[in-house]
Amino acid sequence: MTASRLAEGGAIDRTKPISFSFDGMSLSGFAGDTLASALLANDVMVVGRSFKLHRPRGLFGAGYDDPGSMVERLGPRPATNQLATTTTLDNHGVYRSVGTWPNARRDLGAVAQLFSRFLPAGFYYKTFMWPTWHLFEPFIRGAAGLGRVPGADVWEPVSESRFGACDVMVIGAGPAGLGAALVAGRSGASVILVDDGSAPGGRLSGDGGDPQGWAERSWQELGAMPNVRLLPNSTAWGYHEHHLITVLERDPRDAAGLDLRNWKIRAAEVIVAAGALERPIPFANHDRPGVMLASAVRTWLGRFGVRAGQRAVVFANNVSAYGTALALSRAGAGVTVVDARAEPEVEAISALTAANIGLIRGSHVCKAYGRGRVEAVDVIDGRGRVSRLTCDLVAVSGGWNPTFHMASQTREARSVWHEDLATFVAAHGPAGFRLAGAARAEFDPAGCAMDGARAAADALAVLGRKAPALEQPALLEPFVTRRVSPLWFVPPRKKGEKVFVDFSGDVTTDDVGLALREGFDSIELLKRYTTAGMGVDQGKSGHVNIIGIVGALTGATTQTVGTTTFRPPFVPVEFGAIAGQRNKARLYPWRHTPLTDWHIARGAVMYEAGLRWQRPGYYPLPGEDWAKAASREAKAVRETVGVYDGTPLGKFQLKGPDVPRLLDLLYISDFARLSPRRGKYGVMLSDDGLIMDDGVVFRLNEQQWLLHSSTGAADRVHQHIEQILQVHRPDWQLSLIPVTSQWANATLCGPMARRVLEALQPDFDVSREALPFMGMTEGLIGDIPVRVFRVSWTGEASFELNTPARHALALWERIMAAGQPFGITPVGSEANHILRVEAGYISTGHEVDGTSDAFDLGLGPLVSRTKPDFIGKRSMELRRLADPQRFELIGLLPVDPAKPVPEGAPLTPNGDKADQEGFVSACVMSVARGRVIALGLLRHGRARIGQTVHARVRNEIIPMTVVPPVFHDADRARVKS
Amino acid sequence: MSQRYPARITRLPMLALFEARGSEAGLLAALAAAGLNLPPATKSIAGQATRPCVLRLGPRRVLIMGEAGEEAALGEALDGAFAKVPGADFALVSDMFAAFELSGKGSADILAQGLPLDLSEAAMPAGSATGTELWGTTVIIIRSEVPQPGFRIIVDRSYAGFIEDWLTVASGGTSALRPGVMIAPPRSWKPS
Repeated sequence: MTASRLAEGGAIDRTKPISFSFDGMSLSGFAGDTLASALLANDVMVVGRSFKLHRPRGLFGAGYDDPGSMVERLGPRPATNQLATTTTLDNHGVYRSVGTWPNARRDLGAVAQLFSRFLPAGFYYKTFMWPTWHLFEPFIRGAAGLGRVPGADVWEPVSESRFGACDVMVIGAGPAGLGAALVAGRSGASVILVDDGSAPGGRLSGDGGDPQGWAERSWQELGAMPNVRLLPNSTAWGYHEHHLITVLERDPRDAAGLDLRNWKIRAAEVIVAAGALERPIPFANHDRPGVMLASAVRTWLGRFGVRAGQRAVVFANNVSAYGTALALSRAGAGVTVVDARAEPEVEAISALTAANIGLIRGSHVCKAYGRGRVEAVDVIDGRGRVSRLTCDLVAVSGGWNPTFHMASQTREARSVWHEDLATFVAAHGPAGFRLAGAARAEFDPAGCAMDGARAAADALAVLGRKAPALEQPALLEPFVTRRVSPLWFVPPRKKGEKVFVDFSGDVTTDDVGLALREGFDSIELLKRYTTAGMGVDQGKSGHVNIIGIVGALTGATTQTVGTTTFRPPFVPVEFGAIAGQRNKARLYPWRHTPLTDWHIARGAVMYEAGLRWQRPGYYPLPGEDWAKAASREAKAVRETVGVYDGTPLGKFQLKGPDVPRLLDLLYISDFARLSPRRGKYGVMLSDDGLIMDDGVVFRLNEQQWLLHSSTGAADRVHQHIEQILQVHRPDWQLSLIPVTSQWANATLCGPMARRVLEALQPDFDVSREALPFMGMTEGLIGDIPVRVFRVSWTGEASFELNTPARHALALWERIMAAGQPFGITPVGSEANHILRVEAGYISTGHEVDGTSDAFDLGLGPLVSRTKPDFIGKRSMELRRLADPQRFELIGLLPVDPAKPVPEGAPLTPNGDKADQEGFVSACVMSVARGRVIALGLLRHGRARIGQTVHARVRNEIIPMTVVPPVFHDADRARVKS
Repeated sequence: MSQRYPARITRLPMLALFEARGSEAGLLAALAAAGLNLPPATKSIAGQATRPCVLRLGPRRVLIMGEAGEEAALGEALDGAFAKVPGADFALVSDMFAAFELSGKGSADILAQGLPLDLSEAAMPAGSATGTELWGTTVIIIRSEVPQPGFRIIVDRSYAGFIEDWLTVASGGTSALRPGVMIAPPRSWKPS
């Protein structure tokens, strides 16, 4: 009673033996084997244990339809949750079954079977509840796991993710796919042909149905066409909008050192020739090792030269299994065919007779015996008489389900019941998407090839190309399924016998009945309640049987019951393949100024500054944390001089006679009369009257202006202005050019700033008279062209030195050298935060929080009283009329001068757990005042100066005094000095 | 070890680049006054074989591209020309962009990893230029024939390190993390 390797046959390379181990057993196979075929050749029947009940399980399907031969590969290339049927056998491979202990043959987890009565579908909603589910949860989750992540030497595949494009994409290189690809390729269209095998032919490979090697010749012809790309070892795993199809290619041959390649292919026309999957006929204990799909038995024989048993019973309700019976018989096995139909096809009966194979008609296999391997089956006839057949292999065929999953993923295809074949097919689909061959329920191989050709011709017609004719290939298949007598399951004769309908989740017919009794009668609900179809195989072999069972139990037709929705991925896909090389440094497109290297060399800790920019947060000296460093830097600005890199600020060049009109439309203040060489602070509102951004606008000359935005709002402001220019005011004469990265910016600030500027020896006058506050000038510092703007955000005299980015480093180094005698300090954004809070300047994200308007923040005096209109004016006024209870900007001093308050902390009446009457927007340890200060927004805040309010931080209440929102240089004397 | 895609990846020295915007009539007049042609169609280049050339990126937007040594002369010519056209403007943007050249076997394989466009000769013939996305950044891609068949990538200078690292790794090379080039994520987030 053994499975064994035949002396000859199969597409394996018998000149290359391979040794490997599985669950501690030393075994051998050949190059070209999968792990599964090699295990079967070594008569290893138990390859794993089931998920819930730990029943011994063997191989069932021969490809991705196998429901659970999961293994861990401990070496080479350690990885877990690999499917044995699709894993190539590695030389010196070490494999382990998943979820078993100590191994699959003797698993202690089998004790779960004693409790099977307490583990029906949805048991965790009803049991393990007292005293608390969380007591049992870790144990149950641990027992439910699949695979262990390998240890330190885990394999890290080299992956690539890339885009592709083609005229015609053909999925599947069986007869239909090859027919389609030949027609499309010969017409000159660009074609991509995807197949998950390493050799073409689909079901033809190894079945002996292609004696002239048509598949191989077609593949060669296609490979020689420059307009055709072949993707073997590749699985199309997802359909996304507008024919974007994702494909996972393994071990691509055209790229050295690449393990995985994920394609994102945009195709003009798609042809899915993905074949069909066989389904079983569930009966009691049909999950025993040795019970397999008939097509799988045939694949083991044809492709791998492995005979899965010596005494076989073939159980079927359609004629395709007869091919398996004959192949087994030719390979030397004793075979008996049990056909559920009373009247099988006449040719089929003759063929069995000629081969001396016994046939039992109109009968069902109703039970399998054996534990680690099937030993016998019971067969029941139309009159209820039961006989026992000794066997070591049961090959089952309950019909064929076209693989139209991708059509379902398009969300535009309906599942329609096909009466003769007792299965679902896909109807309709989006334009340019076609099924061909067995995926369209055509099961004759020659017919498939012509069906593929027809689909390609239709596709080419849409593309405006002529389709060359295809010669019908001579492909043999004597037993083509054309009618199936539906048999969804064989009812158990004794109570307690288990009929599994979903191996991956250990779901039985009892569970389906339970779900229906509990009211989960929609197929989507039933799937989720029982977990049928949610396991490793995603219901590939079981779902139509379950739909049939539900129909039978509820009296609904299968069409009414319908299918669940198929979603990507079609097979498991490594996340790493999708990511490709998007990791480490390439994970996210950070933006850097020309000075980044200098900052880092100086020890700066980099922060995100908005819009992907990175800027220094602080420059810690040895022993300093962020707070100490920020304090030291801020103090330097208050007492001597600091310099910071302001390059990321948004900058926009405007020119034209209509620029003043634009600025008046954009900002709340008047801009039209701004003099050349002068700047003005502007606040920009959005349509809803709330603050979008603020910044300074400089008039360079009569015609040209420079608009500045904050770093984070640059793109938003750009789009806002472009929309006005292109959509709302296309007749205005002006142009806008973004120049943010063109200009680097080093801002000197502090009482000594002007002296450092003088020390740089500019060729222009920087005196207070020549360069007043909000003025500008330009010229050379050495040979470096510089434009200087006098703006400030720090509450000290500030000079923004702008230079084309190529000079950024040279200028910065000059500044550091010239400033050294004055104790110049580089300043980061943490210190900037302290400085601006002290000076009472607002900031987006803090005071500008999306609910405060210009008046709330004390900017009312800036709002023009003469302009008839500007963006946001009306909304702002209406909002203020409708809701006079506004939050207003105020300063806050914690009663305890050393007590920091988290930014965002709510202010509530008396600190009660009540609705907030305000919040703390910014809080820092002030260097100017030597104590904690804060800014905040408070209802009617301006009328409450002097009062005490309370911040509530969880259960702590922090009293604070309300003060005017400025703590340093309130008269702006220092700024204007 | 031979590189997976052995294309040549070069970061070009700074080019002379000017961006010009304005109405079609305005651009036509201003460019003509500077001795340059406005390409009639968008996503195309005028004068690629000679320098300087004009890339038309949109109905009202062009990029004027010359070699570094030509910047001063080109700037002066454009200054004079655009001063006479009130509704059109130009700006020096040589410092704003970094340019890379990709040439030889494997160029398309490298670019296809970050760029969703069809890079075939049919869809993108020589002389085409378009704005698109590359690994999440906005770039201008030009299919060039000179000096060798390949692609020229123009990207905002702030992304230069990111793109250079991607091109290297996508070609099969190792990440070129030069000391001091900051390309790991920041430790904290603080808006300012």
